[in-house]
Amino acid sequence: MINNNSFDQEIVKKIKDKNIEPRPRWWFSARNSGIWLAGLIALFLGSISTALIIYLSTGNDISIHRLAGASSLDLLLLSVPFFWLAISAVFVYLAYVNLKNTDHGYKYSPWLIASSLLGASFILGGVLYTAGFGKTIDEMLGKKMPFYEYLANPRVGFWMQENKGRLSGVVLEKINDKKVILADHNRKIWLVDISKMKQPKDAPKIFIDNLIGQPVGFFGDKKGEAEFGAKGIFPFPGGSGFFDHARKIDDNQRRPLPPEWR
Amino acid sequence: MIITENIDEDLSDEEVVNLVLEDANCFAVVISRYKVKLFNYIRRITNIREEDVEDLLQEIFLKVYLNINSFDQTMKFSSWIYAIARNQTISHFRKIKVRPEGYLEVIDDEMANRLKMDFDLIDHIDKKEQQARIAKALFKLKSKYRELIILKFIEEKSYQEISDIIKKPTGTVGSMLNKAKEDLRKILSQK
Repeated sequence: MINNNSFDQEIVKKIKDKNIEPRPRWWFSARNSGIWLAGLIALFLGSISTALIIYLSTGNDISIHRLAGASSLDLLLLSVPFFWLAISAVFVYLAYVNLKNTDHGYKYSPWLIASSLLGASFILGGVLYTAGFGKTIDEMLGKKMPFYEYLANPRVGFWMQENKGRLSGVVLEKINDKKVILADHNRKIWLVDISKMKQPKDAPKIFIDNLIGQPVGFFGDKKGEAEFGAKGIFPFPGGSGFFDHARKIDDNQRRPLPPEWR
Repeated sequence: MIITENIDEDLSDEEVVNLVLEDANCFAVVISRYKVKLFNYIRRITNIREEDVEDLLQEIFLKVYLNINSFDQTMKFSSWIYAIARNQTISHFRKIKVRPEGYLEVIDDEMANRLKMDFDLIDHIDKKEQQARIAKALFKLKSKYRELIILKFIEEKSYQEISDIIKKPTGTVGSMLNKAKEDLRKILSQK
């Protein structure tokens, strides 16, 4: 049957009977543009993750984390932003899949495409970080994202364990050279004794006056229901949005401080 | 019936495609040029019955017509239509959830000679015996390698054409083909 003309005519007849029309050229152009656009969006999102990786990797202080009781596993989890690396990898992979599916994508070696995308994500991520996007996105996520303190910025979660000698929050006020007031994530007010605080030799010198309104972690001992004796301080990068509502406690909302705190 | 008789046989496929866009009847020329080639190609890479190949071919040609505007003039029309046939065949097997298995019913003299030259097959063996041996060896190859050997030595496609058909870079086609030849040589050298 295949060798006679009826096969050809049957198909042409079917085309006419069913009114089949070739898809227009613009349909294919739109589809190809859509694939490119999806790929570029994925690359952009991957680059934002890269910007966050750079932002959250700044100021990583292993010696302070060690003093604050971090185990080797903690140190690994605090030093490498696995969550953002995974997110970045997912988006770069999506960009890769899209580019491979463009009209000429198959002509290029997978390694060339993958390494170009990784390079582009790194460069674009660096540009976004320099433009302040890392900080902005971290602030937004800190305000809205569930489990932010465990996934997006695990350092915040690590410093939120008063019973293990780690207290974090926003420094609201410096009472004197020995005492500061801190509001934690749950808007609880703490009196922190900083008189016995010492920084490791290799850590940068900290000026408390510069940290008012900033998220910080203290390590030391819980002295009472709302009192903490600090041995050291870690002004961690990020977390600004997470502690935003604590920072906004004003004098009217704050319970009168016990006179002995003054 | 207008068509095929009025179209110059010397017209290139690409020129015929331009005519198809003006008149659907001209599509019969595309069908008559490719139906046997694609029929044999599908038979060589699968084990489906002839009647089923015909149904599959109908689907393939309808898809070709529907997507004719996506034909990229920077590649050969034959590569483009082979790529559609290959994808449609793979989808068909995905739908029926069966793996396509090679069915090299016929290896003709010419094909056997081409393979013989590349694979140092001994000349004094009887032709029929040699063809059966090649068919059996191809059947034992992994399907991704068998497909490459079929495209290169039986369909006589260039590296660039194979790259356009299986949608892999030419470098990858080259290295896969080397591996395919190596495996085929090993199988052929087994007694």
